Amino acid sequence: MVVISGKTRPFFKDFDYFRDLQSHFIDVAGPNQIYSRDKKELLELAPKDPETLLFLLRSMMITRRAEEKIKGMAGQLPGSAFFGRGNEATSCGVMSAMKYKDPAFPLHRDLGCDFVRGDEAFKRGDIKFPLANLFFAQYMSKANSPCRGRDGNIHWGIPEINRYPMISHLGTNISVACGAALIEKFRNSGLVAFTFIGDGATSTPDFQALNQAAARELPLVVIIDNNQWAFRTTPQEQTKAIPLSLKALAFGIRGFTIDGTDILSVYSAVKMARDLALKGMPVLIESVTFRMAGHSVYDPYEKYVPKDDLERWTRRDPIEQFENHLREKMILSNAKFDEIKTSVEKEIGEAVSWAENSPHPEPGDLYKGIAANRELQEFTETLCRGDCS
Amino acid sequence: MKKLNYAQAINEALREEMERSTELFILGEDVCRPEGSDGAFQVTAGLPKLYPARVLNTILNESVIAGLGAGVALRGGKAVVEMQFADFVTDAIKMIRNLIAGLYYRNSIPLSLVLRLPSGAPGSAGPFHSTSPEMLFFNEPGLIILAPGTPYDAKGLLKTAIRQNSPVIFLEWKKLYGTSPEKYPKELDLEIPDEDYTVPIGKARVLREGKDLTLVSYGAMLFEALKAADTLKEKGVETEVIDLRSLMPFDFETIANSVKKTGRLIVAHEDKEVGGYGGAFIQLMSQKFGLFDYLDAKPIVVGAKFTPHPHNPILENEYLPHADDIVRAAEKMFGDIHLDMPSESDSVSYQNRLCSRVVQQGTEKRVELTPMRKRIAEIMTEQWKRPHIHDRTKICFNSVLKHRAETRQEFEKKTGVRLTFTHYIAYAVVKTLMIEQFKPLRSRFEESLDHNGSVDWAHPKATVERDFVNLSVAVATESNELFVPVIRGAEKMNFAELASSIADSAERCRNKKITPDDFGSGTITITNVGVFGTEDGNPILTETSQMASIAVGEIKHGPGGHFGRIVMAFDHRMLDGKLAGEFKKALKEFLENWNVDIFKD
Repeated sequence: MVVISGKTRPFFKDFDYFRDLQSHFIDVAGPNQIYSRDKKELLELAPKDPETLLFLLRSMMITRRAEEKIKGMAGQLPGSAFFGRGNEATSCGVMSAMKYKDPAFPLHRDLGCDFVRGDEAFKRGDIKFPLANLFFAQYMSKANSPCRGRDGNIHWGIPEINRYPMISHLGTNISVACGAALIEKFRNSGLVAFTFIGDGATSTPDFQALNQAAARELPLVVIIDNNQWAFRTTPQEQTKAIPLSLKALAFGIRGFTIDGTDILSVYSAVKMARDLALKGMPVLIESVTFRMAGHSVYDPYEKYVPKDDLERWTRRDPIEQFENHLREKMILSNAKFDEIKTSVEKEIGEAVSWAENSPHPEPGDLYKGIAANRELQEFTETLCRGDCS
Repeated sequence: MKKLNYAQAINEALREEMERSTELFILGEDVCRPEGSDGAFQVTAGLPKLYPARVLNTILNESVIAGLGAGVALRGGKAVVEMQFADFVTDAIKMIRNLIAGLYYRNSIPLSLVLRLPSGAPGSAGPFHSTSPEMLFFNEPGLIILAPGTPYDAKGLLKTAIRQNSPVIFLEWKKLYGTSPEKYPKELDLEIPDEDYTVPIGKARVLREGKDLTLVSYGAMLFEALKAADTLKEKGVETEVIDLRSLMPFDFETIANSVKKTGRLIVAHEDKEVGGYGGAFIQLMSQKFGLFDYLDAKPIVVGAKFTPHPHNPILENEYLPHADDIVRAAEKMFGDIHLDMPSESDSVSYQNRLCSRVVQQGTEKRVELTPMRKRIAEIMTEQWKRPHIHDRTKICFNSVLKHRAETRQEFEKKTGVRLTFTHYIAYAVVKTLMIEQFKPLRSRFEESLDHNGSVDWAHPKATVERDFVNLSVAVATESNELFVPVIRGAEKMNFAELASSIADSAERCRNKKITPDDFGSGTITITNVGVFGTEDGNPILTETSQMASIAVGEIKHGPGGHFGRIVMAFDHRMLDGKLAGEFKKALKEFLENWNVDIFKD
């Protein structure tokens, strides 16, 4: 049985992400409680002060600019590049709503998380260089990047600011985030672990970690970046449980499906979710956007993503939407906008220079730091030596 | 001190470390319940009651379990996670090999994480409850793999693993969990101290010393290894049994030192012989740690057959490796001639194999060979494989005799040496050898070795020219000992020095003051067999580095004066009859027209 406030529309039959989330969001509160709720209820939790709002805008802008810059350099960078174009509201919104010390496990389309946390981290002195510098050094695989050339593109982590890396095997991050939530609950630290998953990766075995989080009532929030494309596969080819927040039912946890292009919706939903998680109710948030680029920089997405879809979702561009919203509210003026734009360009430009002037690792660096354990490290280095005569 | 079984020892390690580390978590399927004997193998017994917030049953998903451990550890806690049976770790391979192993390398995040895997075949547990999983992890850098075989090592290694901060694959052997200490062979039956102790990672333990064979093993297979060592001892083979304890890193030093001593290596484990630990171990020991230089026989891996793991006890017995497989492997290395104890019925066949018909008559007494006779047997048999040619020449010693009569008294007064024919011949040989034309006689070969490590005489690699002469002069002592000491750099010596050296080395042989440095790298030997009454004798080359050997026969008076025959054996690979003949001719001329001032030159 499904209870839909106000209506009994069987939306699960012809649920349309583009149409049905404009003014409502889905709240899966339990087996007999699946609500379509007014977005306005959600937005009560959104920030109102201009400083925060402008910071949110800037975060999205610098996220996009940084990725555009990488796209422009793609031919000169080693390896591949991943973009979250269209996902900026989700990534920036999520990280803003979480606390600075919450263990974060972002994925490859969540660069906004890094810029939001990085901004505060640099101000506090927890990182020595602006995050943009580290970002470009990482993509250039330099010796002073977070991965020091040992892993590429967005697989970076900065453990000092509780930002943990991902690996290409999607889903593994959920199990690890679950472990982080386990120990933070034990410590009574008041921290909530959060991570992301793609619409496709909701099929991976590690998604089952939500069972563990649910059974042990762990402080965990999982955000599905539903950009409606898993490489070249649609959600409809992946599951019948659409909207994906329905999957929360299977785990007995709370689920939301929200308009991921609206940063204030994202912020509010995550705020709500964080409070619930802290009380022992893990939350699965499906944040709906559209992937406005290929899977990776080398994916010819124009060949398979329907042009109409790309066109209509462009109208819901998260940065444009928010920009318009702030202008309406008289919080953003032309001058202010230009100021932000210029400062973003400057920050990016300086970061690229810094990264370009950063050193590459030496060949001998290959053998360093393979194991924290001394015996294993020494033995591994011995095995890497040339053969005996 | 106390005795615990394997499971109890691990339980104690966990209990002590839970007390010591306030953020150590024990996670896994069914690690809790029933109270007091918690866990599928009761390894976590009593712990949930003591630490209810930190010992938790997880969901049934090995990938999640491993990830939970990683999440706890990356936040600065410690985790010991259990895979209920090693066979079920496969779901966690993705997490372990891709995320956990390289997290420190890629992102500088240490993980104090131990993954406990109950491994091995307890007997009729079937294909999904019996695996040895070490090779699923061996070639992923950043993972420690431990495999304790005794309760003492299980407790000590687990504590070390928990206290350090690289991820550890901890292999426990199901077969050993409940084995009571009384059933252990003495080498594995170690008492457990009451006080805190740890066992270091990367160090093997020599269970038993031996000089003939190195037997490396770990885990439940140690029992079979020791049984095999007992059987081999009865056959006269002293086996050095080594418990690796740590598979990665492994103790290459202890193994190398052992194989240097024994020259033979067998690696025995329960895992399959195909693609199992032994193969990788031997490859690395050879390629990185010089194993092949020490081996006298090919190394062998004794492991399970390359079939799926069966259920029926008869099939499983066929599948798994046992002590007799190790014994059979060892027999291949030694050849059965050494392992067969001649019994009543065997002695005839034993003798027949030596192509000698034995007829019982009189009495026979078996006497051990002296080291010297053993050595002579070895050297002579090996050197005889070289193509010896024996050429002889008669030399007139009138000139030498006259010279000796004139000078011997003064020489003895000046040097204390009694002049003999040998001294004259030795000096002549050395001087003649240094003539450019006779360079081949003082050269040697760079020999090649065959696949068994023996000299392949038929295929020398290169000639090595030498610009010196190391002269060997054979010495026979009163007690029938034979020495062939070398006088190095004889070409630099004048007559007096050379004669003194010869006399001195002979004296040292008789007084047993001769040392190993007096042997080796000889150029040519001179043996005076004439003093024993031999007219001419065919000498044998005694050293790989020498190409010729001269036997001096009895110098007798006859028509025309004093004559003696010298026979020169030479290696036809290096020189032919022409050069050999020319050498002897030059030597003959030197001796028959003695004009060397022995006090000066």
